[in-house]
Amino acid sequence: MRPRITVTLTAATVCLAGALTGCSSSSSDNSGGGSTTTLNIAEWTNPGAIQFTQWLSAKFEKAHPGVKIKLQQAPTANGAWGTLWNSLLQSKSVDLLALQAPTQAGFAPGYTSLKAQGAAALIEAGQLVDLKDQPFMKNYDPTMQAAMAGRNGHIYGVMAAEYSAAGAMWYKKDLLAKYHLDVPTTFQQFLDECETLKKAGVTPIFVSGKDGMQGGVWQGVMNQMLMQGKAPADSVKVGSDRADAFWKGTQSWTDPVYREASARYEKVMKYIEPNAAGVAQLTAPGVWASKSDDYPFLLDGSWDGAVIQQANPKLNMGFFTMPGTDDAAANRLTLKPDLTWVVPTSAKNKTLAMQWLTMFSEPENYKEWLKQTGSVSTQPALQNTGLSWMDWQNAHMTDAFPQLSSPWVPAGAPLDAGGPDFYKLTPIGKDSVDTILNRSASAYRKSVAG
Amino acid sequence: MARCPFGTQRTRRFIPWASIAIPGAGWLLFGLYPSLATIGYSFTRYSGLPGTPLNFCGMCNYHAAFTSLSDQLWSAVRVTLIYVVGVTVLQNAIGLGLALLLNRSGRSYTFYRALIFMPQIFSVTVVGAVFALMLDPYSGPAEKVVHGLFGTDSAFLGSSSLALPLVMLVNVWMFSGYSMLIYIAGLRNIPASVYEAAAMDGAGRFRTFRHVTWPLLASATTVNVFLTAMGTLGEYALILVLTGGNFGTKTLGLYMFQSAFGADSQLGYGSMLAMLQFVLTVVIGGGLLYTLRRREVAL
Amino acid sequence: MTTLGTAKAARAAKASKYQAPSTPPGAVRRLLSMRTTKAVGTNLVCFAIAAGLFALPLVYVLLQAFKTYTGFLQNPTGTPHPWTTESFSAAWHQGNFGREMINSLVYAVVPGTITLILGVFLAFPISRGYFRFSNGLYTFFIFSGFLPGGLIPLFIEARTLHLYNSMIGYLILTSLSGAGFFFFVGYIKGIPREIDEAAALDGCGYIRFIFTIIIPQMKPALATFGIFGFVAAWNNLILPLVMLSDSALWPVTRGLYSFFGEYSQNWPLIAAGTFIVAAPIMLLFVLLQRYLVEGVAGGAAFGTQGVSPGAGAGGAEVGGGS
Repeated sequence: MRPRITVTLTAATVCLAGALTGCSSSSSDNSGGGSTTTLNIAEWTNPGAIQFTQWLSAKFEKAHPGVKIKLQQAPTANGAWGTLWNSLLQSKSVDLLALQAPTQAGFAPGYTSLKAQGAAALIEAGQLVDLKDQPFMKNYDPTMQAAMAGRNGHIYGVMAAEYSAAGAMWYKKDLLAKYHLDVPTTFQQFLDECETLKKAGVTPIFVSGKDGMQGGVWQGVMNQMLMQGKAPADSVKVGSDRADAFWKGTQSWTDPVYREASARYEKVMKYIEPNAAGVAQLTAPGVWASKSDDYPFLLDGSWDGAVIQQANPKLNMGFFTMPGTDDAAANRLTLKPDLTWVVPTSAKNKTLAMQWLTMFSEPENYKEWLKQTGSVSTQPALQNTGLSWMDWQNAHMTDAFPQLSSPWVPAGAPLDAGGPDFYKLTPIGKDSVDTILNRSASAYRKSVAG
Repeated sequence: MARCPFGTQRTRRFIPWASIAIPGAGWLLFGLYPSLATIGYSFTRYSGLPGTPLNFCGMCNYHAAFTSLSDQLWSAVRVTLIYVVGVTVLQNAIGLGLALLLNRSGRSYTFYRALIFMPQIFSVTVVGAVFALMLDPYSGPAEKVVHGLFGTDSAFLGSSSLALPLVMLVNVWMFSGYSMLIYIAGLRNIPASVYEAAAMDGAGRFRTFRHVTWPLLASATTVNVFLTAMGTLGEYALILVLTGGNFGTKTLGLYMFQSAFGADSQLGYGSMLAMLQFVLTVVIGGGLLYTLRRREVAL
Repeated sequence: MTTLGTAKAARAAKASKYQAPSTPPGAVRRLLSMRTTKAVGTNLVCFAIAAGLFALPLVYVLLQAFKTYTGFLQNPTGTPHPWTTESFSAAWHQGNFGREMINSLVYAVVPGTITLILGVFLAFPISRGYFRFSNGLYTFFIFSGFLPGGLIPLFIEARTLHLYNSMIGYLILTSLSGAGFFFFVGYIKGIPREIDEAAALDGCGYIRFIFTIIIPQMKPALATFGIFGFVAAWNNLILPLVMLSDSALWPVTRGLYSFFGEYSQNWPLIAAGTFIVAAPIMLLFVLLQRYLVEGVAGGAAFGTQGVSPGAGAGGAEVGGGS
């Protein structure tokens, strides 16, 4: 044994020496070359967004000689991304940061005694630069940006991506055509189509129940019902009024609208695949895509387009929002606020960060961004995502609205308090609609009582 | 207190202190200090982000945890206890069984022991992802096996009755090799003469185990039970990857993690939960050490 | 006076020299052929358990690495068809594992070695009871290990001390923990105290005594904790994520983790990446695994018995043979 140990130790020492010298040489070329400035960008790992950011950064470096861009990334799983951007802010070493849009839901009124979290907390504490008067903001819709990243008349970020999440549904064009079905426009039509498909021996809907994607059906129905006949811009007010009413106890999760949404949810759930509760979001798009003769619908956010494409490049796929009501005009596209660029006040290269955002916002670059990420445009001049499977979405952009914000709940509150717990609701769980809604209502009341 | 025999008359009083100075200082700096800060945060509504106010609020988090949010806390504690007891019992039973079976000489047994120990060298995240893949009802092999054997199917990790036992099994799978090693170590400390005596008395296999092996393994059992219980009390990463804490698998550790680092998280509330978890650990750990050591003496 | 723990098993350890009681001595001798059949049978059962229950999930994942992405999607549970090693080369190139492997080795070997030595220095005086409150210190150190760690305060502190984003800083941060302490205290109790006295009489200094007498005696325990420490350091993700922002300083897990996020659905690629990262630990494990059992053996026998007989919770433990 002894010689072997010696060999291991020697090997380790050699590697160590190599590494240490390697380390010192690499750190010297960072400090060397005096005139280079480094623009630090941080973004969570979303393959499309990262690829685009690298592409644009290369372009930026070319246009600005002497500037090096350093992109930091981490996946959102296991809290890695949250920990990373926190430490980058602590060390004042990030100039441009991607965060989830704080929206107005992040700022609960004073009487709730809730404190802002995440990006909203940074805004309240004056840690982000006001971007309102930056020239590139002209490319975006100011009302929308104010709703997503604004506070007291200032705008602290550029929301660059939205996705369709509530009621979002992928479908196989060829499979619908085979059964002579169209994209449904009313809830009843959707149910009828599912019934037809089921009778033909096809399982209509594939969904990842393990990661809660089934909740999208309920969210979609609820959003469309509450926003029926209202202008897209009203969604902020509808959301905050509702949050207010919940806090004051004049509305609750047992109200008729939530009962109706739950009843419709149950009807749709009759058509999902068996054992959906065990299917992970990680595997669902791949499994769905590779089965071209079954599961015409996939309940999943619009961000997974590239993943589906990669899994089965030959698949002729489309996308729509599940119609949640029987009034076709009310069945509108619901958008989930997503990636928002912010510039911390501690940033060392604010000017460069603004220049990068300017380049990012140029229509030709922004178009590429939409293509890579599959996200919905936040620039009014560019409504078309340019992806073939987004035809339905492109046609329904005009009356699309941002999804309603949830009622305010304190940190540590149970899942139930923020709405029905779809992991426990049938058919994924075992509890009935009544049980679930009553539990949600009392969990909410109890949580905010403290 | 024993006397240190080293050094001269003058230095021997300081040698023990010098010996623990560096690791002690490291522990103060990088262990105790951050922990004290966490205790401090538990009295605030601090978001955890630089530049944001601490929002000191006294006992608010503790108060909320035991009043308005108590359902959530007690359910997490209940799951934690089931998890700890289940994993500890199962892992020790399996570890002991494996030890009895594999405590033999020969190259092949060395190889088998290595195989059984192997899962531990992968990180918890990797193991979690592996089992999430294997237990997927549509793309994993578990479904095919269960279907072939029993003719039934299951949502596995998405089933509210199966999820917790499955997560526990994965945990046991990962760390049984460790318990096995400690038991093997214990077995090797039992002198052969004891077995000879037992054979002379005509004791059968079971009686030999019951009256000779088991009592003499007492200290190995103590170590195993204590280490397994302490290790599983804080577990969250494995559960997070396997079920995300849904389907009745949210332990106190995971609740703490999600409160401190999840979406809309608050470091203040998460720190309070971390403190509660520490209290639970000390109570359970202290209780275990006390009873296990008494048991060792009694045996 | 006795300085050892008094559990019977512990005392008995001296007598036995690791004899596996596979066949109870003195049992009626059976026919040789029967015995071999039985031995082969036991061997097969052990093989079935080790391979079928413990290794199979890992082999299954390894198999995935030899599939193409579409091959995996079309037949996720079958054997690879066609077999391909392209995932390994793709993972190797895209993950930039080459340089990160070396970093990981440094982060695992240097703090691993230092922390073991510091652990011995911490454990020895406490184990020998040189302090009036050795037992209290022992309990305190053990339970303080369960105190909630504060990552954010630790980060702020590391930045103030200029340990952030530097290889040396990271090594200092991870080297000062004195790991293995819990086991070492027990293990050292197994080393007769008479040796100390004799060495001290011979004029052997404290540091020399630790390095030349105690550490060689503890080889199995050190090897065990060397492996555990190595594995833990190798698999550590969050600390390097926070403390090392320069990608040139990243360990291999940091790269693997980004890789997980980027190719989250591509199982062949992920499986390949996972095994590339695990390969060095597997190698180390194969080289050192025979030490594992012996190392655990020593510490386990004494680990939970406090410092001096009759102390702490085991009050009934009246000092055996003082």
